[in-house]
Amino acid sequence: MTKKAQDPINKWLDRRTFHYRDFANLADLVKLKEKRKVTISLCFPTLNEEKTIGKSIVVMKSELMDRYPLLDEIAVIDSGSTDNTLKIAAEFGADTYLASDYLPDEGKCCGKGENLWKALYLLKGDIIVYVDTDISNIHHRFAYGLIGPLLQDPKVKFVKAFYTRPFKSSSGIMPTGGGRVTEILIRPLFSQFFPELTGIIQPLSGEYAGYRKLLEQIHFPIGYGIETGMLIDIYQKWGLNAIAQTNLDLRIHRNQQIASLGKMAFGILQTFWSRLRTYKEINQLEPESLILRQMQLQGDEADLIEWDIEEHERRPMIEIEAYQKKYNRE
Amino acid sequence: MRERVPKHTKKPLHDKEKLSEAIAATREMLLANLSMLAQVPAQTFHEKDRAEFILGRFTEGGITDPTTDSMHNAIGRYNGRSGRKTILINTHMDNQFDSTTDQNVTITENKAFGAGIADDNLPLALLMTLPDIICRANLELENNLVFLASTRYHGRGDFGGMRQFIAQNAGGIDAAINLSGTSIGSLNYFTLSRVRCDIKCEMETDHESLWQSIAAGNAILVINEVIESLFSIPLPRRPRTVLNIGMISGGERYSRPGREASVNLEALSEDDETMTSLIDEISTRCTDIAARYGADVSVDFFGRHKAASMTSRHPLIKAAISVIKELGYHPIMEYSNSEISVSMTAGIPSLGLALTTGKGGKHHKSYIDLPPINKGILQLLMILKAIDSEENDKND
Repeated sequence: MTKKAQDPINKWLDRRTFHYRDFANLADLVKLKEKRKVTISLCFPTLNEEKTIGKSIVVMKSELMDRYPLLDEIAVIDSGSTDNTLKIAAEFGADTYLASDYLPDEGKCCGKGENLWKALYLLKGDIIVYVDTDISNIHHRFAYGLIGPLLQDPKVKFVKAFYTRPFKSSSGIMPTGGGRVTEILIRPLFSQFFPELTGIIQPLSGEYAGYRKLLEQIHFPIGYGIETGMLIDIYQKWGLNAIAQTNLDLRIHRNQQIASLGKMAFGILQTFWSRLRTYKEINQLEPESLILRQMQLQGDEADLIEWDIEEHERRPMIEIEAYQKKYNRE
Repeated sequence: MRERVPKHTKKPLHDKEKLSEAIAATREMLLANLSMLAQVPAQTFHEKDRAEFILGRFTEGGITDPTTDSMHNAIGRYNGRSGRKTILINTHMDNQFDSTTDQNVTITENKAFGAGIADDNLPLALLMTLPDIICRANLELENNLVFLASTRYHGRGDFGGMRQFIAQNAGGIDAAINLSGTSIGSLNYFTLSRVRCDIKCEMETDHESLWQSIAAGNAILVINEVIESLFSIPLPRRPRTVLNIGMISGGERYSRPGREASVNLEALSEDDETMTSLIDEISTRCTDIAARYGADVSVDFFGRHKAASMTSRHPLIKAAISVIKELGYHPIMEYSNSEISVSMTAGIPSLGLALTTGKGGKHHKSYIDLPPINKGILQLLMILKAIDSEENDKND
């Protein structure tokens, strides 16, 4: 049985859902940036992305630095690529950082969330834009579409992307697909525990932007749970109205195998349970095991594959002493 | 065709370093245009979206009134200081990929990969970046420039976009420079007489009995007969004339005689009259074979281009040879099958240039080399400056 969605969600959808074309006048966006007196940094988190990183950087640099000075900085924060990712990024003018070289006192962690967290320490901007590098149809709308709502309305502190998600298969580009973890896992969980967040069309999208002053105050799961954890934390601390979403249109990315999606869901669930413990005071939800067991069929044989997936989280950057010193937050 | 030996061949033409720096400063813009362009499909006859994209980029680059026409050509204009001459810089925007083909580009340190990238995407990206390069170099050209991204180049398109543009604007164009992706050093200034031909054979083989069907004939065998006959036509060595089979297709399955078969040919000759005779001979032979086998053989000629040429004495060609040599390349002069045949036939001095090195093809392994692009663009700007200088000398 269908029912009309709750009124607050509809109202939020009306006020806080944008299309990238709303911000396509880049000269106006630059004027708005100057008026707000903010600086903007773009972060590409990478791990072996030599096929797409060059194109991502040249498009952003050409359109949002050389042509319109919207971005003050483009940086690649890498998890230890073994291919030419960093070399290519440097060739086209991005600042490059190996995540493990920074904040060594905080211990070693590896994952996309780790790179995003360290971006707060390494990058200078008041606004940080995060864009994944596995996008084969990269376009500067992936950045300015997220920056637009932040500059337009000071009440908006964090912007998520959503898009049409075709995926690449051996037979070419398919018109539909993707978003399976969102529909099967995230949306049912949000509907039960954080219903207002069901207005977020693609909560797992890898592109988002936010003000430093907000991002520095939240935990960063370093693995699969980064998007879910970030969204719930921002919602709980600043409310739904601090969040907006922008339609970035078509995004072509590598499609993941179902087994990889299982691992992703397993990691996200850990982040989700931790948020239930924090915000809903549900303390009985400690998982009994952090080992994901998947079946692999080969002929008549069934193999049980075990994956040890433990979601670590970084504490809010504002609590890190080196950060406090660097950004005068003492 | 207008020709004049320039007086100024030993005079330094321009500040090469300054131009090179400006080109280097726009490297990311060029590659960004290349990347974004490839995301907009433009199969021949379906170029409208790409044309709109190009017009948008012309506007971003400062072209004040980009225009289009009924063929969806994308046209931009740069007004020179004196505007005494107008130079057309063109390349085609269409390709042979449908919208399901992944045309996205991969950029590495020294190469860019992508389906068809060594064809004309690079010159197209340059066309969109040229206004920025000219602006950054503070280049003040005497002559007007017209940037044309034309449509309907491939196959049955038969240079339709360029033909229309020239038909409507020939009187206002003084010289044409056609750009292609590879290989730098190429200098095309003569075209051959050309015609393309689709020969199709259809046979009624739909009999109840398999034995009757087989006995009734096979379109594939008839096409084979056509091919053998056409290749027995004596072609002259002077003027040089060749016949090439480009594609062949036919049949449906192992167990039935072919009901349809076709062959696609291209004929080239240095002489238009020889080509006319060859066309007549091909038609006659196909008619005779059709009669002999009781088959329906249709012959469709299209894409007829006339032979046209300039000599290396022409100041445009002289300047191009000099620039290519000055940049350290050996000019490779050969005939072109490009759109210069359209402008040359209209009496417009025309040449074809290429921008870099690379490897062509429709697959994802095709690539262009990035380092030579700077010189590829530099050669174009130096030639434009040379045309300016020639004009100045004339007025001294």
